[in-house]
Amino acid sequence: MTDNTHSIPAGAPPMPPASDAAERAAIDQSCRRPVLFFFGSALFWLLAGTFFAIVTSIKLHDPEFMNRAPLPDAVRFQTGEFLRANPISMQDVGFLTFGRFRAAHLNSVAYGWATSAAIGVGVWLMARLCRVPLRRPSLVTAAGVLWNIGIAIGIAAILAGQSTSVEWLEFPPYAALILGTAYAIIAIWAVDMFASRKPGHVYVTLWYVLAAFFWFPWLYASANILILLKPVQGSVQAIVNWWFGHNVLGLWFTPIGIGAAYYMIPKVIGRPIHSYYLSAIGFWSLALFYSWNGGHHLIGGPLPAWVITASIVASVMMVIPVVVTAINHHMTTRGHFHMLRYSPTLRFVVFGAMCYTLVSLQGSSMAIRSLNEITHFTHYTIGHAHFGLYAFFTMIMFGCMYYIVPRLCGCEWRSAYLIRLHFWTAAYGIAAMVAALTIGGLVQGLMLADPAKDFLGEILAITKPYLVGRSLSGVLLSIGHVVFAYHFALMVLQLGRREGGPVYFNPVEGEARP
Amino acid sequence: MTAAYIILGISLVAFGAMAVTALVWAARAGQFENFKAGSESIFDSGEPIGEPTDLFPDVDRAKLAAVASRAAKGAARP
Repeated sequence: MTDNTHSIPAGAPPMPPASDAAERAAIDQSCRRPVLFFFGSALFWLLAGTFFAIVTSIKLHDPEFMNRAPLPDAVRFQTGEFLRANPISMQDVGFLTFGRFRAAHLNSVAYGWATSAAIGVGVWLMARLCRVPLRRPSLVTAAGVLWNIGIAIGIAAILAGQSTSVEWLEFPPYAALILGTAYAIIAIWAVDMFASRKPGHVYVTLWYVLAAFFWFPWLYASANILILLKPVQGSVQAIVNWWFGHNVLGLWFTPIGIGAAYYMIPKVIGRPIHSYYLSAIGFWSLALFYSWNGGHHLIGGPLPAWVITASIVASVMMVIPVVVTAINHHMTTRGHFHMLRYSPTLRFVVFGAMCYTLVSLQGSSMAIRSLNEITHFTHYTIGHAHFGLYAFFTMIMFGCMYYIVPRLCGCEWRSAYLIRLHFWTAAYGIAAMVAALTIGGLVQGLMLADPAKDFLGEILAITKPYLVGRSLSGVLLSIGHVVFAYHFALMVLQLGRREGGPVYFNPVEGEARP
Repeated sequence: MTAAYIILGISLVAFGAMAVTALVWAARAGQFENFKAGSESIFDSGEPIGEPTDLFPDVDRAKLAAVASRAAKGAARP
């Protein structure tokens, strides 16, 4: 509470007794420390992950980049031969190699950035929707510290060559144990928070957030036990791997992103969700279909045909929750699209929600065998992954942060220009990246399917410009990230705007409005 | 493989049971009864329906009032 009073201009009337606005300000203030900690550490890992990403991306079209010795032309694409020829130089820079940097990128953005941001947004949404101040805020902060220790150890282990080489589970078991413990604390806290909510309606966002807090620890524990601690044998490992890999997206990032959009869009516009009935169908059909989707990563693999077919069917069934959500978000925003000019939160969140529809329909189509034959193992899939995790999820997280941070810090964002710069670098950057990888991937896939094409001479040469394009789009995204991290740091240091007091989260002014 | 069977058992039985429990609880608690009140539960007297709650920091008050009235007109449309 104390910090919020700074924003009241001198001479303003004293804060009124517990009104809706004052109660909401108290709830927001109770989230201040843990949520800002999760957001701050999320942005740190976003910057680290962006650095890993840029280096990895450049290495794909310029393998000599950040290598000690230039690679001879004849062995440019045959790293094994190069290793035998230059054992010492590669050992010196082993932690800079593609294999380690790519894993470091994936894990720092998926667990360091996206998951930390999702926990921060989820914690704040739970407090608002349970309509009680945050319970045990220091426990949540402690879980955040533990989570960051786990990530730091895990990334260091990957760079030191101790990756497990299982995609999405590269962290060695000792780091995974720390992460699992930290998340378990959050999950138990979430149950406690839900149990102590004020009586009344459970808003659809709360369903999504609570389900996500419940699903992720179950997924993470099951996958780590079945793959790292007591490994299952043979191709079952691949099933567990992709059951987990896809469910991190479907049962963790998606419900947090969609749930946040279900709160932010109506709240920012000031209009209830178009059809609450549809939102209930969307939630329960997502819960039913999504956990079956992982098998579509293994189309063509040595698995029982029914496993693949069941997962293709479930992937196509995902059209139901996706279209339901798309209709609902579009109809809520309809007639208010002019608000996109005035609200940073709405701009980011609506961009993310639109991309959710597009990327999900693309994903359903990619699960169909005839298209999968072309796109599997090409850059097309990488484009799809960034479409989902960046254009959908990350953009919604940015939007939520633009809404939440001023309410926690008690001051308004300093510069509208920096917000616009962040939005346009992010929007153009991710659009360019998805376009480059999608077109490049299709070209690559069609050529790979033709046995007459020469792999080194033709296919690699033709994909190279698309990879350069991807690196350039990454530079745009990096600019946006640095700008946002700087802007966020100003807010945390209490250097935001104060003149006239912030408009929306000041209870006194809220009361004063007619 | 024992671990696999235990986890499979937990997943199928405990997880399914919790999902069913949640759905039954929601139905019994009346969560699916009044959709209109449900969708309006995030608004209150401090942040009522028809008022936007987020703007760029350089948007001035006059513009805010104009946006708010336009949003209110939009909400009033059928």
